[in-house]
Amino acid sequence: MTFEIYHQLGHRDVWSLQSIDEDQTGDGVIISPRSRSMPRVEKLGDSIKRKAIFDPQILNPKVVLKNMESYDFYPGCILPAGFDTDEYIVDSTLIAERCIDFQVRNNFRFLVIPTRFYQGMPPVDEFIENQNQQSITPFLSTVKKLGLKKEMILQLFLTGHMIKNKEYTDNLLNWITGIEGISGIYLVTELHPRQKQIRDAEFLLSLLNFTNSLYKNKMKTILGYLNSESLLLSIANPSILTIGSYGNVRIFHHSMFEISEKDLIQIPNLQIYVPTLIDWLDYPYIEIMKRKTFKSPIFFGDNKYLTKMLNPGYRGTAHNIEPHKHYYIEMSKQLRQIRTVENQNRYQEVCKIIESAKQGFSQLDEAGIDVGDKGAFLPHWLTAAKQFAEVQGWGV
Amino acid sequence: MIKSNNPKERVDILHHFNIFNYNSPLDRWCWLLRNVEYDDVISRYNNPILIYQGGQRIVFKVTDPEFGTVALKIGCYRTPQNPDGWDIERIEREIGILRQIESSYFPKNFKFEKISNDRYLILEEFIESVPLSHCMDKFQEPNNILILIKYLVTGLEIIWNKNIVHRDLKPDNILIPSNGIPKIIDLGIARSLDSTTITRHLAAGPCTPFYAAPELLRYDRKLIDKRTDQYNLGIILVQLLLKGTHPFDPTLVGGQSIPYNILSDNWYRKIFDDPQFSKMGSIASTLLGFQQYQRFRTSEMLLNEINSCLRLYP
Amino acid sequence: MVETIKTSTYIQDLVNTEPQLIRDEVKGYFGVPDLVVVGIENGKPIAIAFEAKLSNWRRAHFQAFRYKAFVNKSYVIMDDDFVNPALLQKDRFEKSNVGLLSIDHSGDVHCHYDPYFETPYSPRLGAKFNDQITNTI
Repeated sequence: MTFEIYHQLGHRDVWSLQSIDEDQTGDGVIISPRSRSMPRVEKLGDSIKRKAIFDPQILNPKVVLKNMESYDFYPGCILPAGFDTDEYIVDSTLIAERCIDFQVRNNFRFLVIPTRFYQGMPPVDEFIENQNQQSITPFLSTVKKLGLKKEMILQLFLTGHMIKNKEYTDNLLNWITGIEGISGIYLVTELHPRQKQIRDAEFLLSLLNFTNSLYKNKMKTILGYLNSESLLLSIANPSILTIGSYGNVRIFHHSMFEISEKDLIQIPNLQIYVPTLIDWLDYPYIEIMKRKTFKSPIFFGDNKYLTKMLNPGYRGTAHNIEPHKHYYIEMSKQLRQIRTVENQNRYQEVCKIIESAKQGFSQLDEAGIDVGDKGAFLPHWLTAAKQFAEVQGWGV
Repeated sequence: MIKSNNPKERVDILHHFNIFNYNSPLDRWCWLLRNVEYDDVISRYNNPILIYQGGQRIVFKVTDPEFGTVALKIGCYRTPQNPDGWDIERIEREIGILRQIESSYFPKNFKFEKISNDRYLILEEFIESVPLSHCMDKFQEPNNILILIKYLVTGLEIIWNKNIVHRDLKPDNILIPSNGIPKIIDLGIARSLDSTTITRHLAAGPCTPFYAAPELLRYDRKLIDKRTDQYNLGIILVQLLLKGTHPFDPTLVGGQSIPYNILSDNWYRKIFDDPQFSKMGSIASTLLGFQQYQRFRTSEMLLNEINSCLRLYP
Repeated sequence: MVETIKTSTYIQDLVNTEPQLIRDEVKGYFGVPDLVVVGIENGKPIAIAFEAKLSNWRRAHFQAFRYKAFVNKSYVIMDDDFVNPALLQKDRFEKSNVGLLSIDHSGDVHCHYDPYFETPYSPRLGAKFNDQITNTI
């Protein structure tokens, strides 16, 4: 099954919109109310909104960050006493009504039912019960009352602990696939602790299996907040894979929603995405790679933003537009390459990409360029891919 | 002191003076020996034909002046085992469901009433048929089996769409008339997924253990949904391929018992090594998915799969 | 260890000309060297960075390599008792042109690989560093 590529919007979301429009790097966007106020969302063009997914971001009902205040459905804003667990269930219908109203009014692609984020691994019955009571039931009741026919997807935040526990995920899958009226899941996972690139093969395999189970149930799966592991996860037949440029839209952590985005955006070193390595490298490494044998555009990619960045006079930082637009182009190119094939063929393509990346890091090593343990994630990806392929019977 | 030796007479006297003791072994024993009274009811009809007689229920084929040829069921709803009369809830539930349905896959219900001596009376569509359990030999070809399953799904869809789960689908509860289109009966333990009533029954919950999905055997109420019925369809499908042998039978697959094997996900998968049946393996394996998410999420998906499979068996 | 290195004559002799500049914890470039020594040769600054580690030579090598983005030479300096694993991987140091030194209990420095002079591999950072030290010296 082919998949779509969506930009996970966040800080400087206008760059994503430009990139999709000018460079055809995506099929749509996932809108973040934390980054874009209600009036600015409503001003987006109909063609954008029609294909957009709105992420209500009610993962923590106690928190209302700056732009979120402009919306009328956050519990912290509209409940007179602020967020209170006992009252929340009673008021959840009001929240549902307003959230649905906003989504329907703007004619987004799906109606997203938000759920809360829970840390660790609470008892699964409790987790399901709470999500049903606080969110799913009020939303579905409201939809039924209004007679809406919009396609609905359920947003779900799952931690690494949950995903890696087979019994837990079995229960979750039984629950999810039994909810009447929803056609898909917008899944956001939090793995903690982790490095920038995931090195937990067990987590990756569990996530592949989870995604594949939803696919076999003919449910859409939208995988949010992805880094370049989107390439690997594509073999499990998700419907939409996300790309995001700033670190906080490539890796999800719930604490991001406890402070404002401006406070969150530190001034990172300038890094450039190197498609052959499936990873980001600090700019100075790129400079020495250029000096040595890595001159091929295939290694770094080939686009006007990269050309500008490779210019010796380039003085940009992580806040310049070029690294982000370069990433959108190259990442989407890689994803589009693999989406033309399916199942076993896609698995083989992805393995080739991973193997090429391994070779790339070896070449760096041979050339005396020490990037630390940067490539250490690749064997874990390969392990996860192979174990998944074995279960699928893809002749490993 | 009641001097009568006749169990029926003894019970009648005890009831008359309202001193029948459900906790008394003697009183219970007498009760068991008596049959369901029916003379007072059946005398109203000409030429009643006895269809079935059990300890708690008797069924006749009669001609009713209003409804024509019907099945007349007379039963006891208050028993020594269930002095509070829980059975009547079950019966009323079944009647309630049947009254919501207008379908050739379910028998029509014409009348239900409680009558004297803790009995009930039901008038229902009479179906000239044989239970599937008695005519499995007619369903040996993959084509026929798939068509039967397709009919059953189409029928079950009607109650599934009303958020009702049958929970006791088995060959005894599937009647096969001469036209081959099955009738599904005995919705007595069917449950609305919206219901919060607690079924007071065996600790493990109501079901026939040999035809029960894992979640039903564990009586995990939260997990019971329409996909629970799919599991039963899976058992029936494979049982037909095995010419009547239960796919979880220990004589086939080892294990301690059928329910044990169900809970161990241990069934005779080797049947699909036979090239004649291999194309049905996917449907069977999905229906018999141990976890519900491994079964068909919607009846539409199941029907599509059946139709695709039927095309492979011209 | 850093203080010992600073006062070591071997280190000071690495840059043979006057004036010298010795700074520790130099920030704002690419990594934070434990020590930077600067001298002038033929009217141009020559900068040398040091990464001191007790035993973790891999980490030290990684960091020392980063410093080459803005200095001309970079060394790993380790405790002499723990230098053997690094010596077994000397080819890595040669490939990346990162120097390897060890310092013993007496404060004597032993050189296991002496890198050749290179211009910083990041012209941008090299120029920035160059400007800073030129203004300082």
